[in-house]
Amino acid sequence: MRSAYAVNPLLRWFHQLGSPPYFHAFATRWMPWFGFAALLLTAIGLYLGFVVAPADYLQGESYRIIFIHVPSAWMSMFIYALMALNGAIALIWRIKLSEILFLSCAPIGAMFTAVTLITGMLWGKPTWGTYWEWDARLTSELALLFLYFGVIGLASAYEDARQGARAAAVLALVGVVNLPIIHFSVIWWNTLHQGDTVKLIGKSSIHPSMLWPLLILATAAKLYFVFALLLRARGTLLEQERAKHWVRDAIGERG
Amino acid sequence: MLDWLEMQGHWGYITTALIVTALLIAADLIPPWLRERRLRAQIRARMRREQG
Amino acid sequence: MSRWAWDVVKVALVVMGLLGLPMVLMPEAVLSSIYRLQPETLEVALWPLRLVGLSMVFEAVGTVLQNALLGAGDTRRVMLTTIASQWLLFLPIAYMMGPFFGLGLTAATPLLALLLKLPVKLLPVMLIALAIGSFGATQIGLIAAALTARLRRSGILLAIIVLPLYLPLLIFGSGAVDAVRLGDSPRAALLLLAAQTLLLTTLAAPAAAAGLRIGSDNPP
Repeated sequence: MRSAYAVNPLLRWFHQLGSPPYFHAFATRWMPWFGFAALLLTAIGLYLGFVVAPADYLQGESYRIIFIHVPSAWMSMFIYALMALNGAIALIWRIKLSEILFLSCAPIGAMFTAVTLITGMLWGKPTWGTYWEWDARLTSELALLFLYFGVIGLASAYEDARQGARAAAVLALVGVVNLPIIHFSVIWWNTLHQGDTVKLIGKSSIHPSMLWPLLILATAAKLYFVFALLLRARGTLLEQERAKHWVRDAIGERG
Repeated sequence: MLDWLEMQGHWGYITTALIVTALLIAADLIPPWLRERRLRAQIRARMRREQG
Repeated sequence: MSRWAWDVVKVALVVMGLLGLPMVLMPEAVLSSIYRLQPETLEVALWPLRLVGLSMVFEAVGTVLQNALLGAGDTRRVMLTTIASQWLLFLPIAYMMGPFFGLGLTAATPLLALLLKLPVKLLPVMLIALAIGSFGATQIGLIAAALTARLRRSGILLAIIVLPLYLPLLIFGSGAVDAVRLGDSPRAALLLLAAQTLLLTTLAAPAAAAGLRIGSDNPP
């Protein structure tokens, strides 16, 4: 029999992942690696950013907050896109793992969005004299936080967890339009928030001693995200499957 | 409180940012970890009851 | 049932009437006791407050009766009355208030007054942006209502859901007004606003349908 799974190992692996005991074993195995890698890179990044990198010519020391602020901002949008993707898969194909991953993304994304907003305020005050401004980028980042809250709230308001996940997935998809607005708002409006200095393509207008800690912390943030996602997803899976036989086996051997 | 913060200079803002981030990360990690621990303990207790 | 409603009306009349009395007779005192205002700001606020005070009594009767009817299930009559009163009563009266009391555009369009004396040249673009954006906003309301239809006590959740969805409309709508204020063309902002409204209109019906079917016998 020729099937897509036989031909494409990636697809087969994703299909396997949908099996709860396999996912539990997978998460348990890989979590420590992601966790320690995240910790290590965070330590290196923080050291490079807060100790090694020189003070900024214009902004002095407080610019260093961007080493936390920018990776968090990237994560807040990246996680939302991933969450929306999982939500779409959950709605279309009703894959249970996608529902769980979708739900697990939300609190982590909310955390990064909150960090973005607060560190942004703490950076804004010494740099531009104000904690907050109702310009497009700041306002839409705040909107992103509310979107996360809405997804979490809507999903938990339903008595049936699966129904709640599907309702929240619809909401998440409707909110996706917010993402391009945040991303492009800096080009469209010349307001408080500064322009994009780090470009995906082409030369970034940032000094290497500042670029390295930024990229290292951005990678650390992604590793942390995987760690936190696996943690939450595994826990949710255990809770939903607690009566099943495989759970007893899994817990029995680990203790 | 904000006045106190503003008098601390640039490193005051930086430290506050670091502390707040650490707190939020803890708030993100601790609840699911605790929940899972409790769940495992419950399941183990039930297993012991059924065996013993 | 109807006697109960009339009893509530009587109570509401008394309560709202008493509340409205100080607003009509001593607006300066009311405002000064709550806010610290510059004299010029206080001046501007006096007449609107008097008007609000006068309207309290009518609000009382209207709100109680309207909600009594809604509670009794007669929603069609409420809708017709509301639309009729808006177009046949409120708008003409508001139009008369302007020139009659000499308060100008500010009194006739409270929305503008709230916007702190919006310059008149911005009015057209604002009305256009409002028209387009409001239509998009109703689509958002439709989706949010469908998603929370099965939930009991979804009040605050509804607000949390709807607010961030409104924001892109608001950003481009106010961007259009802002563009005119700066002397630029509002075309880009208005087109993006229209694009969003179109997108929302296309998505709203299927999204709402999917939302309503969750938890039913015919899940999406």
